[in-house]
Order: sequence, then structure tokens, then C-alpha cells
Amino acid sequence: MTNVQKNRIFALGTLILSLYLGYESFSYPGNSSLFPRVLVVVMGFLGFLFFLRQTLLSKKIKPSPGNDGTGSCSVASEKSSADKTALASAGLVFGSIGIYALLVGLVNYEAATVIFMATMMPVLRFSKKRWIIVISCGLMALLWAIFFHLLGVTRPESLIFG
Amino acid sequence: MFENILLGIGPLLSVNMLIAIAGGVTGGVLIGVLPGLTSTMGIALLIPITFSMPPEVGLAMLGGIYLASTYSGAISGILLNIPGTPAAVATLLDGYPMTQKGQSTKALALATFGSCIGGLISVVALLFIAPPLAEFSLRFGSPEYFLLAVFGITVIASLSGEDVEKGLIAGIFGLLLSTVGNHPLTGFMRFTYDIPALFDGIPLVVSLIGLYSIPEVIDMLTRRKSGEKIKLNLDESNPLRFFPEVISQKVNLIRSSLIGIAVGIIPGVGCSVGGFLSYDAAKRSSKKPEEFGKGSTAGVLASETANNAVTGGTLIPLLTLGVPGNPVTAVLLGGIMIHGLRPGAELFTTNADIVYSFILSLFISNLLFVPVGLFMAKYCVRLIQIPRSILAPAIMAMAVIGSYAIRGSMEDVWIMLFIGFCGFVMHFFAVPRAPMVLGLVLGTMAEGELSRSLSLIHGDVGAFLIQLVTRPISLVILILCILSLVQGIRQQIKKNSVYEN
Repeated sequence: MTNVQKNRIFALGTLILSLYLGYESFSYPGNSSLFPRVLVVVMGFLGFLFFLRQTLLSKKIKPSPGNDGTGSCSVASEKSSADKTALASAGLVFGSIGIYALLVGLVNYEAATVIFMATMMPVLRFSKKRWIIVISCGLMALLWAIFFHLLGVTRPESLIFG
Repeated sequence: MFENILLGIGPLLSVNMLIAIAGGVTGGVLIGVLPGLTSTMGIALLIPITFSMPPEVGLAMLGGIYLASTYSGAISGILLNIPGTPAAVATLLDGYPMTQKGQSTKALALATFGSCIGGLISVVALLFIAPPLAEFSLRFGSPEYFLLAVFGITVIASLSGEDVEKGLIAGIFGLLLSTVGNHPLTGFMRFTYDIPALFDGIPLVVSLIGLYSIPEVIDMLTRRKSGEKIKLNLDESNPLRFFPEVISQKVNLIRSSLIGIAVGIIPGVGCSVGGFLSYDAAKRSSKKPEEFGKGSTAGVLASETANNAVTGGTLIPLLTLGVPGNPVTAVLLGGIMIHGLRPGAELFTTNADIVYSFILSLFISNLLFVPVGLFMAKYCVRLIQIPRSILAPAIMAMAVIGSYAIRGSMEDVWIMLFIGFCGFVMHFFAVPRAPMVLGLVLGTMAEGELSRSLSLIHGDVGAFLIQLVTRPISLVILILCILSLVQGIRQQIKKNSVYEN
């Protein structure tokens, strides 16, 4: 995906978000929603302006290697592969944190942290088993000591081990 | 003012304070050394730890992290040619060539002493410029504060990205996120979708953690290279023997410090610009400009002195007007606000003990990173060999517990993930995150001041707009807003013409 294409998608996304938030904010009483109303109108206008500018820019750019609108084949394929890697990494990060947060509520904080660390390190290609155990338990102990012991934060409640 | 300075010295003498400063400086050095860990992320992740501390102790710790991480980006830059932070980019130009010549200790000593001196001079400037500026802010009313928030966003949006529209959209999105929850005057709930965790709004620190840790971790994993071995080229000379050489370059030190302070005061410009401007000034005034880029001591000293002088400069508008100069200070503003403090005149009068002890703690932080930098740098830099497969899950675990710890609620972890998702989308589409942070931080103030102004004139929007152009201070801020936008648009037109040709 080229930068111009990405920009157009972003501008469209902004427009859709403005419409949705505009619908929401205009449904609230006027004296409590003046600020968000003004903001969504300005955001929608900027999104439209950006979309228009990017569309004009894509028409102006001549198709030559190195020109960002189209680019050479190798640059385009490199960008596309970087985008795919970024999306895959994002999926991994959001998925793993989501599961970790659910585990904290299901088992308990200590076990969930050790499981999370001990699973994530091999997934990210760290293969020294002894180190995985030491680091997982060590980090859990460090965070536990700082937050629950030193700072007196209440431990999160969990279903199984309380 | 001198009474207030004496008032600030008291808390500094406590053991807790000194431990917090030492912890902040050591943590900051480690954060700065590790590429991929930014000062912004470090401060965002560590705010929850400072949350339960007394404000002066917590702020001193955050200040220590800010100063030390700005300096220590130079360590990996000089030894490995990898800048730990963007602030250190100008230092690479001469720092790494010095290492290649077998002068790594000398380069580190110059960078450390230069950073310390630049930092100290900028804290002196902060100490003397901030109080009168804060007093001046007493003349500000609601319209002025509203416009200050707008100015903060327009200036950062115009300078921090390739497209002005993207920066402005990010700023507005941040402002919109700040409207979630109660209306500041009427109490009406907006955008809460019956989720109790949103009734009080999106927690600022939780958002900062999500916005700065999640996209960085994703980026870290995207650029992960396995089996990467780093070769260190170290020499074993005594770093203290280079101090006289540093002091002999008085003009360079003072000029670089002044450039750094001036750059810091201007919102949105940042440490790396300060480093480059000062490097350029040193090169122009040098009798041996041909040595620059090949291991010039004046080059390393200029860039490092300036980028640490920026830190004190950025704190001047932050503490007096609540306008952060860069993303790190925007996060720092979040850290100040969660302790119930509000920048401005009140901070320098009612909370004088806290703010002065914070400013004075910056002196200690600046002095403390000298021994840490000189004698631990070579060991710290080995941390760069920590695989990202350990670092990434560790940051994720810290982000989860940090988000939970603020209100003791697992719902905040989900909010952090949502904001992290927004941050990732922005990173993916190359949208700057700094304006969004500013929007989030300044949004409540902007809406509150707007509502207060309108309530005083019975909701008459036209009268409010007339107020903005008839009150002298608000007119000046309005003109500054327009100028910052015009500047951003001009830069963009230049870039577009390069694109088209």
C-alpha cells in the first residue's frame, strides 16, 4: 500500500468517525455537548480536506520509480511486507495482552504473569528454557514487590485462586 | 522567590527524595540506552509507581528519568552508532567516529559533562524565568486558557508530522477522547455507553501507557532481528581527566546551553533540533570546521550540551502555562496533574514547596547522572544485547499492571488496550501521536474554560468569539495559533512541491 493510498484510507476513516461521533454528540443536550459538536465538525472538515488533497496528489504524481504515489516494484513490495508484519505483530500483541488480562481474572495475577511471560518468550523465538523460567518468575516477583508490597495496590480478584 | 527556594530545599534533604531521584536517574539512563525504549514510554510506564508517592517525591523521580534518559541516548549512540533517543542523533556525527579512533571514554566524558552543564544552566533559567511568567499568567482568564490549549495543539500539530491535517485530526481526536464522561459544569454523561469505568472520563495515565507502550512494542517486534550480535569498541582511560578540556570550551558550552533553552521554550521543536542547531552553530564558529563529522570534540560537546539544555527550557511553558513543549513533557504534565497540581501561578504560590523542590531536584539529577554515566555507561550499554523477545513481553506485563494500579480496576487494562489500538492505527497511518496526547491532557481544561466563559455571557457564542479578539492577551494567543498553522501549511506546500517535481 502506498502512502497516498494509506492517507486516503485514513481520511475516509476520519470522515466516518466524525459522522458517527457527530450523530452521538448532536443527540446530547446542546449546553453539554457544544465542545464535542464543534470538534467533530472541524475533524470532519479536515478529513474531507485531506481526502481531497490526497486524491488530487495521486492524480498529479507521475508514475516513476521512487515517486511515493506509485513507487518502484521493490519498494512497494517491501512496504507491503512491512505492513503485513506490523499487522501480524499487532495481532499478536493485542491478542496476548487480551488473553493475559482474562487470565488474571480467571486464575490470579501471579500465575497469569508467569504463564504470559513463559509463553510469550518462546513465541518470540527465545529458546533458553532455564532463562525463560528465571525471567518469568523474576519479573513477576519484581512487579509484585513494587506494586502490591511497596505501593500497596490491591491485588486483582480472580475466580479460581482468589 | 528566595524564600520559596529555601522552602523547596527542605523536602530535598529527605532520604526518600534522594532515593527517588537516584532511582529516576538510574532508570532514565537504562531507558535512554536501550533503543526502542523512549523517554515518553518510560515516564508513561513509571507514572503509576509515582502515583502513591508524595507529589514532590514523585515529580522528582519523573524529572530524574526525563533528564537522564535525554542524556543517556548518547551512550549507545557514541559506543554503537545507535541513538538511544532521537535527542542523541546529532551526537552520533562525531561521537561514533571518536569511538572508532579509540576515544570512546573521551567522547562519553564530553557528552556527560556537556549534558550536565547544559542541564544545570537550563535549570537556572527555569528557576528565574518561570516564576515571573507564572505571575504573568494571573492576567489570564477563561478565554485565554481556552486559547492556550488550542495553541498547544496547533503548534504541535503543525510541527510534528508530514501533514498538518493529520496532526490537527490527531489533536482533535485527543480532545474528543477527553470529553468522554461528565460534562465539567452540567455533569451530563457523554460517550460512556453505560460503562462505569468511563463515567469519570478516560484515565489520563492509562491512556498515556496505552498510547506510548503498545505501538512501541509492536514496532519493536516488527523490526526484530534474531541473532544480532553487537560489537563494543571500548578504551579504558580515566574519564575525569577530560573535564579540563570541557571547561576550556566555555563559549561553546554557553552558546549551546542558550540555544537549547531557547529551543526548549518554543513548543513542538524538541531536543534533537536543539542538538542540530547547536552543532551547526559550533561548526560555523569553529577554527577547524573540517574536523566536524570526523570526531570533533566541539561537535559532541555542542550537541549534548544543547539537547540537555532543552529539558529545562521545555519545563518553562509547561509549569507556567501548562503548554508542553514535546511529547515527554506532555506525559510529564499528566504526571503533574494526577498529583492534583495545575500549572500556572497557583503552582508557584500555593504549591511553592512542591514546585521549587521539583526544580531543585533537577539540579541533583543533573549532577547524579555524571557518575552514573561516566562509570556505568560501558556496563549499561551491554543491556542493548537484551533480546527483544524478553523486552517486549516485559513491557507488556508492565503496561498491564501499571494500568491496573491507577484505580485498581481491570477495566482500565481494556481501556489501555483500546487507546493502544488507536495508537497503533495512528502509527500505521503515520499520524503523529504527540498532538493526541496534548488533546487528552489539555481537553478537560479547554472544555472547562470554554463552558465557564460561555456561562458568564449566557451561552452567547458570538459574544465569546468577540471576546477572543477584543481581549489583548487572547488576541495575541489567537495570532500565535494562526501563525503556527500558517507555518505548518507553508512547510507542507514546500514538501508537496518537492514531491510533485
